[in-house]
Amino acid sequence: MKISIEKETEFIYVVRYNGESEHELGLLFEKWTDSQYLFNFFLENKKYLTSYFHHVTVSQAADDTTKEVEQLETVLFHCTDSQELSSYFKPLNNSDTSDNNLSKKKGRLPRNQTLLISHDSWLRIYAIKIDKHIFLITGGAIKLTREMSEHNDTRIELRRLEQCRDYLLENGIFDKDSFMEFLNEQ
Amino acid sequence: MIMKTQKEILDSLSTPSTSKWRERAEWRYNNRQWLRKSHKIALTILEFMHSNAISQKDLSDTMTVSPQYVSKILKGSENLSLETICKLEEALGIELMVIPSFVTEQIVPAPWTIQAKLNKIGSSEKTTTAMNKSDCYNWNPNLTKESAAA
Repeated sequence: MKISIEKETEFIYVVRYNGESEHELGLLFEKWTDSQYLFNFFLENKKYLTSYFHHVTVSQAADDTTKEVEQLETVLFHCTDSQELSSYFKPLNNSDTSDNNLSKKKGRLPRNQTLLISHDSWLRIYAIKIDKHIFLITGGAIKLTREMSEHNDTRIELRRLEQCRDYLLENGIFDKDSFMEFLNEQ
Repeated sequence: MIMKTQKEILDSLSTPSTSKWRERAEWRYNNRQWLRKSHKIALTILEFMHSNAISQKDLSDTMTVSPQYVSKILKGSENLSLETICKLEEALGIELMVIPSFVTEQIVPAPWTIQAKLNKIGSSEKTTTAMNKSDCYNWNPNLTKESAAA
């Protein structure tokens, strides 16, 4: 897998996959701020709305996502505190209590930041924690199922997380120093 | 030799982002008020088109605009003019923006209320720059609360 790593802030690095015009964060927000993309996405995934998020219509889901995206983008754009970022990114698996370097993370808005919508946040940003204060964003998804394995979009993100992690390990990256050394060689 | 901190080394070595995300995010933040309205209008149109099996080509033909322009409108990031909104409403036969009904009686604060506010801010003028006497309906600066109640 061929990737390049781009720096957004001193805490946030983002993967750009081979052949893509933009890094993952840029691509995600272009999609998530496109009303037509959101409408078609929820139309295609209507069954998940009915199953897990009752009484939410396709238009309402798209509108809710627009509000959520606005809040999420503000959080990431204005994040100047690594503590804030560390509290945003949680372990990928809810049962996972470890916080090691190269652990897989998911970012989601907490419930008190989604007061304008009637359900829990379904936007996810996925990242690998390089060290205490550095996160490498690998992708994101609108998660409408309980498990990542239950939907193709989140299955792809899970695979990307694993591939990115393997890529880092193959290149001898296991902490901040080795990450810096790798970037120097890029 | 000056020793650099780890942070300085990292800053100098890392590939600066060539992404336009930050620029776009700032633009979206600065334009969020009208963008919210544009998104809602786009979603209303999309829902109507879906429910009535209207294609983008149908809409662009009816409006006599390019399909590319319709596509831009449906993305929800277009700063729509009133003229375009009216054309969309006419083409689809639906209302996209509702303007609150015009208030026929001008509601103005009573003279004693204005005076009390002026006294509070230390002005001796009986009128404020924000309110022109001629704009006020039935303005009577001599009216008191007591005489009004009589």
